[in-house]
Amino acid sequence: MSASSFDRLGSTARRLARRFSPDMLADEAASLLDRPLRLGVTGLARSGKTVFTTAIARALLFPDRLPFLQARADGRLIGAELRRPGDPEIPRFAYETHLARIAGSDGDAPGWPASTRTLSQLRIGLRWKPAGLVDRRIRPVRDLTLDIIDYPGEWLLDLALIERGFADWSAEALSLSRRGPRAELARPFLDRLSTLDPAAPADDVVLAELGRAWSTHLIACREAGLAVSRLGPGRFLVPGDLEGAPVLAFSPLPEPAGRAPSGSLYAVAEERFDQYRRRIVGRFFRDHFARLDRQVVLVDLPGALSAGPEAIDDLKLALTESLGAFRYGRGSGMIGRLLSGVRIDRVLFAATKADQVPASQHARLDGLMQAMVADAARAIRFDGAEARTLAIAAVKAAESVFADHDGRNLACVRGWLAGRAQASVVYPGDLPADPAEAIARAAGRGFDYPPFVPPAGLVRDGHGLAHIRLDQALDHLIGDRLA
Amino acid sequence: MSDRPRIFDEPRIVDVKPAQAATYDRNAATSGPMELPDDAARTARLAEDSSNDLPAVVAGRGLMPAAGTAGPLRRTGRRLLLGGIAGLVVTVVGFETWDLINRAFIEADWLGWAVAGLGGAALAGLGTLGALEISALRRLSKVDGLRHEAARLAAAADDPAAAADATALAARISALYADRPGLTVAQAAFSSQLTDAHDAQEALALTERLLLAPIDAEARRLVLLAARDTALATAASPAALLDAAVVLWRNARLVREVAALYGVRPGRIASLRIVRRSLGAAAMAGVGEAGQDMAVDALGGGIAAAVSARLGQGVVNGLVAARIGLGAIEACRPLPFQAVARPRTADLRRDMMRMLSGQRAG
Repeated sequence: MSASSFDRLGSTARRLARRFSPDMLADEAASLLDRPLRLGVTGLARSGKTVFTTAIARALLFPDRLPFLQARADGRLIGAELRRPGDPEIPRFAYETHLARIAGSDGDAPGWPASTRTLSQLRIGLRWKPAGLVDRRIRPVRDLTLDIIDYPGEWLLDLALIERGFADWSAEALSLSRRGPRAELARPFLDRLSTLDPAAPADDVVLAELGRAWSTHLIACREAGLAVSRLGPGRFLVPGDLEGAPVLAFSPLPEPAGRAPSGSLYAVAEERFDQYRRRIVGRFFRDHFARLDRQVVLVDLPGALSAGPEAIDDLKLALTESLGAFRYGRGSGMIGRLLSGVRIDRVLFAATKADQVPASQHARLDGLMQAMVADAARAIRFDGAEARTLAIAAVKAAESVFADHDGRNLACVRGWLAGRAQASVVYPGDLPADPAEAIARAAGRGFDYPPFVPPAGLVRDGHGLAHIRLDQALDHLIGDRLA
Repeated sequence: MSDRPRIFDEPRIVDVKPAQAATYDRNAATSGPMELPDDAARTARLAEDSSNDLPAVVAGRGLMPAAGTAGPLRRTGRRLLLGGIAGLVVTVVGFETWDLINRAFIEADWLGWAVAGLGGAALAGLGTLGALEISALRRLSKVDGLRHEAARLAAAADDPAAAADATALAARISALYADRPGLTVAQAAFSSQLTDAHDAQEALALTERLLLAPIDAEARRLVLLAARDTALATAASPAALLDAAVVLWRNARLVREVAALYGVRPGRIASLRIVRRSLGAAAMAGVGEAGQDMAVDALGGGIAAAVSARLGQGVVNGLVAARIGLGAIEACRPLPFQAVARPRTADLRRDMMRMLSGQRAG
């Protein structure tokens, strides 16, 4: 080996050493450790994402009432603060407003936050002491940044669109809208459609009109409580900042007999569908879901049980479709995570609004939840992520009581129904242990879980909000990062 | 199958009777959802139940064959033997005392009264001690009852009444420590955080975490102190017999302290029973931890022995005390360790070594 090759070797080594100086590596390692933990709160519309986010922010800021959060139980959780969010383009989650709404402020009665119309984010900084002796020597106090985003639940349905073609989607959407109770609501749209030839030259006015008609039909279906999961695309229900944008000016169209000529109604609608898929859905997914570390899937099971078996089937379908878009499991070590992006390694399926179900039946609610997500959870576990289910209530608005009725002792719930002066006692039906039987009984309208409003004085005591198993949910979702 | 929902705004809540809450109607499923008048409602949280009538727990003999007639016969025989001897002793002492008093009265009236007074005092003392002993045993068996009940509830996952029972059990445990001023904060936290929505396991876990945790910590401190004392006394004592006595006395005191801490307040006989059980628990723990313990003990003992054989012996005796203390905790704690990690000799050993080497224990 010649002297020059030694030189070359030496200079390469020096260059490498410059590049990977110990300081830089330490910085790199620290930034990796301090990388925000992104918690994805996913769930369909009205599953309680906003309330959940508000409640965990409040719970972390006022961490009494979290006996099952291990770091808190060990006295290692020092505290939390709200921080300036990382992304300057997205509004901050209106935590204070939502909390005031739940607690009831300035003469307003307590109520639930209005359904979310747009995207927002919340950043919470947590400070804690590590549990291990060695860790405590290295860094006695640690920081964890928790990022949560809130978004309209309707948008989640779009994730199922990512891998679909226009023809395929159109066919399904049209056949659905011609069936059952939907046909009546879809009549104006279908009538308009029957007068059109999809192969005719495109007209922006006609397309915008079709888009509006489709959107009106979807909203009518939602109002009627029909088939939540098949009501796409989500932006037609909640446009956010896309109100009136051309990308929403399309609707499902029957496939024309031959090939649709370019510039025809069908071709333009297909193009817009693809744009919607790639630009709107793709970006939403990439910016907000592709980098999640933890995911909680909120499911309003009491609501679905009250609405009947179609709603339950629908819910199950929606869950399966939207969960398919996520990637789970650990990459191979830190390098794997860097290269392949971050993967979700913990998932919680939470049956929300458990306070509407008598406490003695929470185990059954949890069992039903397990049955609903059994396939998804199995796939997630196979991918190497941890999945569990819990029956929770982010804000506990009702209490379980036993009541005498016709000589029988019934498990009931007691809370405030909107507009009533006094608490009401409601027997919502008896949830059976067998999930199949529960679904069968939902068909006979065997359940009626009432929408209680939050009780007065929730925040006045200066504690975290009353909840059901929110601490166990938190422990599953972020507890390991506070170890 | 559905009554239409009915609406009543209701005036007041009726007090809860535990028995009724427990006989929750499982056939309720046959009627549809509805709204009920509020005066039908009872809260699911049970008021504190002060009764002691825990369900009888039958200690099963598992697969062992029944002892047949020999078992009861042997027990009867033993009872006859012991009872007879005790009766004879009492009779002899009684006769002798009676004689003594009579003799004293013959000597002089005042002497007779004095001797009779002494006899009466002895009798009263005996009675007091006996009563205390019996109450100590009762307390011990009450704590045992709590633990058995907890085990039953933890197993009864799907029983809707279990949650109410667990809450009642938690209230009983809480009442056990009602007079501890140091626990008021924990008691308040506990009663504010236990809600009707917790199931049996969660209610018991909360009891362990919020109510028993401070007691566990104190018990652990007591055990550590005893372990240190024993170790130092053994290391410093000039004669083997002396340190054996010190170790025995210190361990007995430790067991009594731990028992009192958990609300058992033992008498002599109850102490003996706890010691017996502690030794059993210590041995059990020993079996579980034997692998690691033997290696580390041998190593630790080896190093220490190289410095000083006495010190090594002291460490070993300290570890024995620690094990007995942990056994006492296990025997006296009203709930088994489930939500809270069971303290292990390994941790205690580390803390004890740190204590002995002059640092503060963590």
